Amino acid sequence: MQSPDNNEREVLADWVEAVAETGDRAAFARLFAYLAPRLKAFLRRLGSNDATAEELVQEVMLTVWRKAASFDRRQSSVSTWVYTIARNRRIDLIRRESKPALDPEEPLLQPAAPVAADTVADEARRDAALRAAISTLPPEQLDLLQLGFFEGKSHVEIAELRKLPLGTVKSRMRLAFSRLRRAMESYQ
Amino acid sequence: MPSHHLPAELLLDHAAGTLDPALAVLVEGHIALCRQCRAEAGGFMAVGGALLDTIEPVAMSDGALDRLMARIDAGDGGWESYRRPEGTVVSGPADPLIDVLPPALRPLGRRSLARAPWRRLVPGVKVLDLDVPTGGRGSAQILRVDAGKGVPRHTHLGNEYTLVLSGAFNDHAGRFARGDLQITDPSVKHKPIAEPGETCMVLAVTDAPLRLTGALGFIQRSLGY
Repeated sequence: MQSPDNNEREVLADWVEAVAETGDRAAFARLFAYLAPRLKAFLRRLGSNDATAEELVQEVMLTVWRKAASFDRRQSSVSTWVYTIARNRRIDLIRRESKPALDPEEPLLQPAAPVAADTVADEARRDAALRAAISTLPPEQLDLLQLGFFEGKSHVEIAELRKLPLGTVKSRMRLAFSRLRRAMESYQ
Repeated sequence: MPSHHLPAELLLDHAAGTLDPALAVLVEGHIALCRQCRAEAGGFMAVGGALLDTIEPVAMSDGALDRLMARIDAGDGGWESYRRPEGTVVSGPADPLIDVLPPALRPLGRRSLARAPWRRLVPGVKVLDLDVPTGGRGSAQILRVDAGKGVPRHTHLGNEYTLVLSGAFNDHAGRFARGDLQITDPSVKHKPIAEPGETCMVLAVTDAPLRLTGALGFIQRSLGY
């Protein structure tokens, strides 16, 4: 599996900062080229059709353009920041669908992103450790992690989908979590 | 620092954005009060970022970037501009609850107080229904338990998630103080008692309604709680 190395990670952060500081359209185009197809793949796996996925990607990238100044490379990688934007947009949509009568400007609909600013001693190193841990997860654990994240599946749904006993799904998840937690531990 | 924390499944569902709204409120509440889980929640979000990097990309349609730049040039603010700016105050009656809620949950507290008053569950225990959608037959409530008083022995059809907002309570599983999270499954029958000296307020979310056992249960069912 491929993952941007530290240098690429810094390059992505440079592009976001260029957008924030000077409205650099060339830098934004490069960000779009990297992020949009990944976001689209993510949203497709969550069950959006092609047109909806493209529309949501446009909205997430519009937020990237408008909120570039709120990105802080000391707090997160560009990918994590953008993942959070996409996650929040999805929550926002689902909540409106589930309770359309709710005031669309209701503050509750503003999903809070966890503020990790006070908690992470060295985000870049934690991120590198985390990526290394993910790349060495046994395939069956990575598969479950991806199903949980990208397809929003519960443990029970994953067990049905993969035809595994629920206990097996739970114990594999626990193994994956404990590896990832151990990898992150020293940096938070 | 709380001593009872979020399990990994809830951290995953939080980062994946798949918690139902009532449980999301509870998780945000614990994260606000617990530095350790705040760091872990950030870590799980970083797992999402790392997975986004490693996903097999799917090509965007031709001209997608040009269409986006046209929207930007037209001054389109996108979805976030339709929402109320953060920090907007929703009015509601003054109540000690507001002071013990983490700031992110105060608008929800004010709105819930404005919608319906506290009601008495049993002597020494009041309940406020939170104005948040709950999954299936679940509930999301604040319980206000006078010092030294207890919630009657009860069990649940589903899981119960309890976050302590003020004071502390004790039950068979130990002591729970501000920021602590207790999760009990349907097999547990418990009788939490607030410690003397301070009112204990908790946020309680269930995925099915609670059931009082014993004589009070009969009264509860007759009253339609």
